[in-house]
Amino acid sequence: MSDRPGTLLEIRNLRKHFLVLKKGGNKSVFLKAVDDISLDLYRGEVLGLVGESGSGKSTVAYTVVGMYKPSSGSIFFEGREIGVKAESRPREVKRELQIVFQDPSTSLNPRRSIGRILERPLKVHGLVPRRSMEGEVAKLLELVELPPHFMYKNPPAIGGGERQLVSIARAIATRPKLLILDEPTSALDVSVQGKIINTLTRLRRELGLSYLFITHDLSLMRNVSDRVAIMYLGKICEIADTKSFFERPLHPYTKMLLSSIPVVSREEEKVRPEKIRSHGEIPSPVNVPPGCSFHTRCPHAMEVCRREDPEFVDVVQEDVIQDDTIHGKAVGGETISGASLGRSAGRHWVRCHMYG
Amino acid sequence: MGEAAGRYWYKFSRKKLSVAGLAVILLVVFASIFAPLIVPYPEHAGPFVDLIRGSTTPSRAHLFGTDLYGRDILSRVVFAFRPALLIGIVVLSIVVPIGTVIGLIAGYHVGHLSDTVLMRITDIFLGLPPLILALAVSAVLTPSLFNSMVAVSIAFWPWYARLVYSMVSSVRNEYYVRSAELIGESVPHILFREILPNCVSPIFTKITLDFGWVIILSASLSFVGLGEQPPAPALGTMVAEGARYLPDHWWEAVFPALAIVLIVLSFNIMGDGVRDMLASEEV
Amino acid sequence: MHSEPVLSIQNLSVWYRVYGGYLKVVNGIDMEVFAGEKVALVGETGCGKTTSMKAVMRLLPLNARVPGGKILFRGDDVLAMGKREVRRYRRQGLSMIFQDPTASLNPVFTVGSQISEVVGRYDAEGEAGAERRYGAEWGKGAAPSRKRVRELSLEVLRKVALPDPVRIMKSYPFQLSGGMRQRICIALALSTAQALLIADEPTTSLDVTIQSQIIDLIGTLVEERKTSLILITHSLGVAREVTERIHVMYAGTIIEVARTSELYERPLHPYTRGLLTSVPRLTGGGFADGIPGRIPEYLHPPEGCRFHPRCPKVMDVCRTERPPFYTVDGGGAAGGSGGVSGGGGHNAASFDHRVACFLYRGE
Repeated sequence: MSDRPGTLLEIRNLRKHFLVLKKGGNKSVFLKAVDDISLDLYRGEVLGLVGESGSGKSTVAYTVVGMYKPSSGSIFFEGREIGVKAESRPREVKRELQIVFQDPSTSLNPRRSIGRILERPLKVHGLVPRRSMEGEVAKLLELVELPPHFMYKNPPAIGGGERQLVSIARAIATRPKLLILDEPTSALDVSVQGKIINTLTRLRRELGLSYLFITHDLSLMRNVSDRVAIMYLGKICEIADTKSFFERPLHPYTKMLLSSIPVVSREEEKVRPEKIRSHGEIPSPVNVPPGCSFHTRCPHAMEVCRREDPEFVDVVQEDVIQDDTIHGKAVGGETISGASLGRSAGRHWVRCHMYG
Repeated sequence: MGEAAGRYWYKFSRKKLSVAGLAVILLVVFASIFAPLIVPYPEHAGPFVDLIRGSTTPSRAHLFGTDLYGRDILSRVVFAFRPALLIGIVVLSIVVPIGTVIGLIAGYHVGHLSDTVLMRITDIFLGLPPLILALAVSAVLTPSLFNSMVAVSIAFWPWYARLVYSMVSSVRNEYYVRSAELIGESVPHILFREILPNCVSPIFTKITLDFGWVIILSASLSFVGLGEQPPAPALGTMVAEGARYLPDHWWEAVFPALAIVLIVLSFNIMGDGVRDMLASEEV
Repeated sequence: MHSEPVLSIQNLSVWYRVYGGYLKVVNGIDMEVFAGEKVALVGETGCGKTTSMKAVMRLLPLNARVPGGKILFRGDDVLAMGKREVRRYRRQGLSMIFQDPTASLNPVFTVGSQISEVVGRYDAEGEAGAERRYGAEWGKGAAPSRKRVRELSLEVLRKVALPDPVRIMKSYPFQLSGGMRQRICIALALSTAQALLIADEPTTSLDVTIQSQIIDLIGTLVEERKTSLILITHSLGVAREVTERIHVMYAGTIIEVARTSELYERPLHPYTRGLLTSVPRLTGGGFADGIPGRIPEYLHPPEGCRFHPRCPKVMDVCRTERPPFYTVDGGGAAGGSGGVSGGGGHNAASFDHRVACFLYRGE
């Protein structure tokens, strides 16, 4: 049970393993999608979760929202344990924790009208009497700046960006507290991305929302999130405030990611780290390398990296958040165990032997 | 609304053959509805005997010739369209809803007990050849048109269950279904409002093709005397009776057989058009 | 330098026949690619870039029509080619890499057998080259020996920096990662293409770190073999990494052409500007709302400039007349140069900054 008032979501040592091949003895093969993640998400913030394929970021999202049951570990939402599948969760939790999926052409039923789609959450949770339904749906559409007559259209009749706005409208229909956004703009063209993001930003202000924003696009993160966490093969490698993160990326994987981003201007090139030639492919989460899972591609791999999985280290120097009453002062280089990683605001945590 | 109809017609009519099939079927339906008004000898469809004109070759007066009782074969064939189409409509009206519901439930609960139970039962029925099954059921019940419908229905429902099952088990993993589950929708809502509308296209195509199959199955039953009883005309019965007089009085068997072939073929060809019509457009 | 372009698209239009009329997807585009050049065709979903390239590859679907225009590959009229010529054209002239490498490889054959099939049969250098590669056997009508084909296949895999080529030869495509599969497709494409490689969103389905590897690889290989490259993409960032010249496409029309560095520093067309301000920057600072409105409906596209309904700077003339290309202080003739930029080779004209927009009339 958690007693920290500013924390909306607490994830503690979450693991989600999928059984791939059942073998006798202890030899069963598992896909370790999420392998010991601990995170806090504070009220009103946007926490970005970044990773490539196999990183487990989507699995974290799906587990938090209740599509999967955790293999071990806990998830606390507003202080209550919710680490079970969605069916078993209390109504209020379902109302207050919602998700927006990546591809609006598959997350909206193409054969239903938008009006009906938006009605459902209102009906199911009994929030609105029947006669006011149409009015409420119109209000929802207005909230995302879509014309009310859209409620008579079917999703395929409108554009991709508008569909995603409908998807967002559906998610906020129950006035949730936390919205999980799984790559909300990855399936969309650049010319509509901005609208979606700016709408999300406005909604956050107007409705007092918090976001868990999942993406692979670091440039997007820079402009959207308050804090960023990088995932690789089911574990977090680095987590920090956005400013600190981009000014001083620490983990070799983070640097590799940043250096690979194609940019469109010279200013960005200056800010981008030197291109790191990554050798080889991303290992599969079925076959995670021992020790530090990134060592197979790391240009700085040392002997110890092959043997031991590094612990988290906080490398914040000057700035300390005043209301961080649990650990008192920030210490440069002091090793702190994973469980207390929760207090990550104002800190810059990295999990790498170079900083141990 | 007119826009949608026009679009469907456009897609359907890309192949001339589909349109031809549709035309034939419409003709058959029309003929069966207005049979008493358009056939040359409507009374020959009932008890009628005129042995003097028995087994006459096709001529101006009797385009398809007469059978051994002197009844005009053309008139009887047209009247025989009625039970044929009726069986199709009745059987499919029973079989499609039942098979679909079973397929929906089993497909939604893939991997669970209900899936296993329902689909194994379906498999058992699928394992028995439809004709044998229909014959067995008919033989137990008294031969009549109604009972042959029952028999054919029992033989047919598993095919729809199987089709819907395979569609549903993939559609149920789509994100819009997951979204509905996460919102907390009831299972009936998910089955009938979210999943089913996205599965209907292959069902309609199958219905069109199955019309032909049902007709053949019922013709087979009446061929062995288990369907519509004489003297009411039925295509299978007419073929059976006429077969005895091959090859001399060939017209008694051949024309009813050709009618069966024509109808079934037309449904099949039309089925292609229906499939094209329901296919999604992609540029 | 060869003065004739490797590929010349002249006023090409492509329409699709559908219910209610025609989808006028490609609307009279012009494009030239010279030997050894790396150009990009950039545009968002539905702008017609893939359709145009499909026309070049003669891969258009049955309901497509080409109501006008020419495609010349080294002077040969592609649209007029018969079946046999098309096959030779695809074998020796150009090849294409697609977005989804999984779909391009046959899942039931090993990688080795698929590469051997290509390497052992086709030889872009003709008879003399074949004899050199396969040895004297070739001339006698015998097929190259299995051993020789295997050697060549391994060489091809090494070229694309695939580790452990021997194991990969024995593997099936599903056993390999997306990045590896795409490398194999690149290897296959480059083992036959001599003159032109068309890459249609080759990295969109890949992870960012792998994406940069693949894009670099394509750039390097294409340079080594002096093959021309047309990169089709919706990502402005990726286009900037590897190309020398960019064509920006909107709603079936090419609306701006410029040298890569020039385009990003001085975007002229309102659409290009809109796109660039909508891209999130690594330097922070937020980004624009995107471009209001939607791409036009191709069944009844707007008159005049197809972008005019969404253009912040629209003028009356834009609504009725289609803007020709205007060259903006480039080397070639100033003023309305419309259509093909003066013919001639890989010269200064191909680096002109051209815009199809009335805002630049009379510059």
